[in-house]
Amino acid sequence: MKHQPTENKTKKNNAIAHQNFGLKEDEFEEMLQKMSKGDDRLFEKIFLAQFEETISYLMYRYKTDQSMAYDATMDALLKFRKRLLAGKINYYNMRFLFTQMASQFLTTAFNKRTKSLEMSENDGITTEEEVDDLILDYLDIAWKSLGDQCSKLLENFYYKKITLKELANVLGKSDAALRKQKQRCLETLRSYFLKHYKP
Amino acid sequence: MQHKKYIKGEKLSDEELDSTSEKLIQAKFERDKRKAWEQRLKNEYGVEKEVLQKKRFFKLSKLAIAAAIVGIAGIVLYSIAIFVTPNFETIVNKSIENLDSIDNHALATRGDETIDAQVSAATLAYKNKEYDESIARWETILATESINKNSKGTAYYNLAVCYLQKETSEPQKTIQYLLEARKSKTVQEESNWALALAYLQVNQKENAKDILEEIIHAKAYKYKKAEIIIEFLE
Repeated sequence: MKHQPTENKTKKNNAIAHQNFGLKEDEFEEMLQKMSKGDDRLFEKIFLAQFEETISYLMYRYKTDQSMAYDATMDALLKFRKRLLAGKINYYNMRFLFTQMASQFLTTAFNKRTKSLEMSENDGITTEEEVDDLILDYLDIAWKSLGDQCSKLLENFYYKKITLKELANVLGKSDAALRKQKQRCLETLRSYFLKHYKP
Repeated sequence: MQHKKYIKGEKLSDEELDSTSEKLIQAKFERDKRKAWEQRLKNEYGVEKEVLQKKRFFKLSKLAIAAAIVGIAGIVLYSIAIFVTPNFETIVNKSIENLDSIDNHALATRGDETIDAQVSAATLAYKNKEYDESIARWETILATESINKNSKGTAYYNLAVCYLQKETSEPQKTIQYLLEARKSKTVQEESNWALALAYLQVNQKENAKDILEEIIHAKAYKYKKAEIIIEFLE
């Protein structure tokens, strides 16, 4: 009888871990920490492993085809990563949250399919203005012309969401100097883009 | 819509450049990430986006239609090719059919009235496709002692053509008479052409080829046709 509270706690912890794709709270914090430094490996390991499960759920729940469920899950995964990086997701019930997010992407896709103008805007699943693939193709070309320093700086700051302060610390530069460098890199990138871009 | 200004090269404030670049860079890396994840899902977890069933059937049906069209077109073209493009055998047979006896009366008879009558009869029989009758007449003419060398050549040629064109052709006799005919310069070119055809009829391709090459080289009678036939032989 003495062990009952501990057992209950363990059961509860296991249940919570299950709700968070098997991650314990400290592991979740570790994942966030790594992501904030640009290391997505743990995140990918956890989320790619449950990808199929989410697809199956969506197919069962919404009687949809695998293709739509796949796209919705992929969209949710990208969005989820961004939200984790932005510190907008806490250790609570990631499984539920992720499934909800995927469901909302799916219903948005249904709406698009039926040409409905009413898009769901709840839970932050807003329809972002999509960037044309052609623009991204030319951006890729421009990106390849960028020097290593610029491409790393822009990737770390805009995609990996590493703050300028952290980057400045690592590089041994002042925040102001790095800010100026970033601005110059953005201008260079745009000039390369405009040089190549042929709509 | 700010990225429209970005791509058009319009002036952007530092803040606008920053926010638009962020959006574009994120979109770029998300696209890269999506591709990388798709690959990993496929390779490590066996999860792949399935092609929509409907689309697949549509694609399959499109493929089937395309295949059917290609198939039908192929059959039609093949049939046209068969019927329109003459094959080797057709060309040879047609060439044999087109051979004609040489109706050069003056050269053949030199005013000999007996021979003149025989030549007229032989020619008429030939034109009426009475080959046996024509053969008999030409043989009679050839047996005439007064016939000269050139006239003999013409007679041999006409006799050979009869043997070649008659219903049951006799190629060996044809060849034999054409070999005689080609000795006469007046019918040498015609004889060579007919001889090549006669060799082809009995499948003596090498002999035929030698003569055809000779015809082509000399740009002699029917050399264009000889060029076509020799292509089949090579």
